[in-house]
Amino acid sequence: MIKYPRMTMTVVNIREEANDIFTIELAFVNSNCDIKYFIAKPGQFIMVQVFGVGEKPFSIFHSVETSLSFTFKRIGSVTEALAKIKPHDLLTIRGPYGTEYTLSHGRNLLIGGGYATPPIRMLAYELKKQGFEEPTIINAARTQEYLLYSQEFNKLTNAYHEATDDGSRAYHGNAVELMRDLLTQEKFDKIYISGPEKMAYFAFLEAEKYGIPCEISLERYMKCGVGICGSCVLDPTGLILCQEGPVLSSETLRNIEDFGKLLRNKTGSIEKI
Amino acid sequence: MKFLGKEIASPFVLASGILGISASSMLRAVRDGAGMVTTKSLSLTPRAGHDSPIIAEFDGGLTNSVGLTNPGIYEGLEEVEKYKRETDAPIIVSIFGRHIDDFAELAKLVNQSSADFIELNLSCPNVEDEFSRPFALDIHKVGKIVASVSRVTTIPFLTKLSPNAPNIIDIAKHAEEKGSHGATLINTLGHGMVIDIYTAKPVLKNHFGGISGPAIKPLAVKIVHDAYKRLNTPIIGTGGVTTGNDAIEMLMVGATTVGVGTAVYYRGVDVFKALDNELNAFIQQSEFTHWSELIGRVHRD
Ligand SMILES: Cc1cc2nc3c(=O)[nH]c(=O)nc-3n(C[C@H](O)[C@H](O)[C@H](O)COP(=O)(O)OP(=O)(O)OC[C@H]3O[C@@H](n4cnc5c(N)ncnc54)[C@H](O)[C@@H]3O)c2cc1C
Ligand SMILES: Cc1cc2nc3c(=O)[nH]c(=O)nc-3n(C[C@H](O)[C@H](O)[C@H](O)COP(=O)(O)O)c2cc1C
Ligand code: FES
Repeated sequence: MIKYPRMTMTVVNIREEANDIFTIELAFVNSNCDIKYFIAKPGQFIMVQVFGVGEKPFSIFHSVETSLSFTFKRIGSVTEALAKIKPHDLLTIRGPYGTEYTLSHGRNLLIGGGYATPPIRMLAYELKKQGFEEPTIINAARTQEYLLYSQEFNKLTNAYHEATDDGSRAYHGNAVELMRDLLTQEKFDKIYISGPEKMAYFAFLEAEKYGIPCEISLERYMKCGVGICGSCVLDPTGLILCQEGPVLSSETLRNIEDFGKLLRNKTGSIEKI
Repeated sequence: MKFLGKEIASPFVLASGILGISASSMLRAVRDGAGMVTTKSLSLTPRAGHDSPIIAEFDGGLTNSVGLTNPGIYEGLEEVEKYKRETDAPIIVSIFGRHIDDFAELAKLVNQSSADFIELNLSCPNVEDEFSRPFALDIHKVGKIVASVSRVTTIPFLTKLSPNAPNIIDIAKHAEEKGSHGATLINTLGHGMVIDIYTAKPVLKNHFGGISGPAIKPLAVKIVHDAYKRLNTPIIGTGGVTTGNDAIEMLMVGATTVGVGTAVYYRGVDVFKALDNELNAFIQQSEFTHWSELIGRVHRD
């Protein structure tokens, strides 16, 4: 029996969302695509392989019975090759892997930063689909052109806020500063975060001051994605992020000394974030 | 039960290369019921290894081409110290070198650490391009490396060998004669290949990799069986052990302890708890009182 089947999928389309940021939509058409394995939840990820180049993890951005999408930033060899993909090309994926955001009733604050926003978008759709209360959403980026999915977020909630580091649009400042302002005015029951780890870390510290539980998606160098190579392990608890993450709760994060501080690089050597 | 003079709580050993980079994950294996752990194979300098995909599953196990990713011996030994501050469960430091002399140099460094044992990985098939043929295929090179480590080491060491050597039993005996205190049998088999039929391309970035998991279990069982008859030193029987019953087979043919690698892929890191339970369930229903009584059972008439 194969535990984690690979699925060779056909590219339906690729679009450039912003400078160097692309979304690829894939269709489950080949006979090794068994969609009964593929019920993706917000926060989960897939391993995407470009033959001859490599394989890397990407968050699932959208998933329905017939197709699936992910968004990526061009930063290295695999994303460079992905950016050149054309409709009808083939990509192989494995997944969906990892933990998901758990939906809960009450006043939810969703925070997405830069190109790590896709899981937040998927979460917002899921909350709406399942009839949860409208969340408050913060979408933050370096400049206005990197604010992804603004129109969609605007439709999903009346409480949509944007922030840009350079002040080119909306709030002038980062996600954490905007969050701090909101927390002085409103009460929240839960905060969901996906963004650069430093941002997530400071947002977490802020939430802790108010005693608001968080769920945060983290990234680490992932070589296998299935819990055997050890490249994604977090200290000191030995949490295996590819399986027991990427979405972690405040309760778990309180025990992770690496959070916001240290990661393991390609060789397994420890580096500062 | 003692293994080379050190107390072990269970016969299960986390095999090298499985979650063995950080102390935290090896401690988890111990908390979950492993009796001993092995570090990822460490070299003198850090190595990034091969690019992903580094594993390709097939119906019977895995092929892997991790390519000996490791942060190097110095950082690796810092993890050993972290590990030893938390537990008495023995830790085996796996080492590998590019040159014959590297092994003694690495062994000297391990001696100065709190590690309990050394394992010489002479057989990793993942780096042949760079290192030419694995040492484990050449009985004279194995003898030379073992003798050189034997001269410098103050802690017991095991020699890990490759099933690709048709004379693996002779090699294991030769290693024992040159001073090896035990054998780890076996490393991954072959090179294997898994092909994606839609793109007509190998799945692994490196195209091929070592085969592990259930498919190699009967081979590992036979090798341990034959080695037990020739060796006077303990064997860590490794290869395809996924269930308690697999472990019992391995003990019965002569393994002193049982290495567990690919089963972590199938059953998660808490596989050790499950294996302990399955082994104990068998013991309780049998005439035996302790798993150590199973060792070498097949060889009694
Ligand atoms: C669970 C998970 C989900 C992810 N989801 C997404 C996603 O939805 N979209 C997306 O674009 N990326 C995502 N990533 C990150 C993505 O996997 C990396 O960006 C990937 O390494 C890019 O591969 P590459 O071969 O193009 O670049 P590489 O050759 O791996 O890297 C090129 C350079 O970028 C640096 N780098 C690599 N990863 C990161 C990182 N995460 N942050 C900052 N610098 C980095 C490297 O150190 C290197 O210098 C996710 C990662 C994880 C673990
Ligand atoms: C992903 C992976 C990485 C491995 N890395 C190493 C290694 O660094 N050093 C080593 O001696 N063996 C390594 N091995 C081999 C295992 O330790 C073991 O000998 C082999 O896989 C057979 O056991 P198994 O079927 O239980 O996995 C690796 C195996 C796998 C699957
Ligand atoms: S990526 Fe290999 S263990 Fe998580």
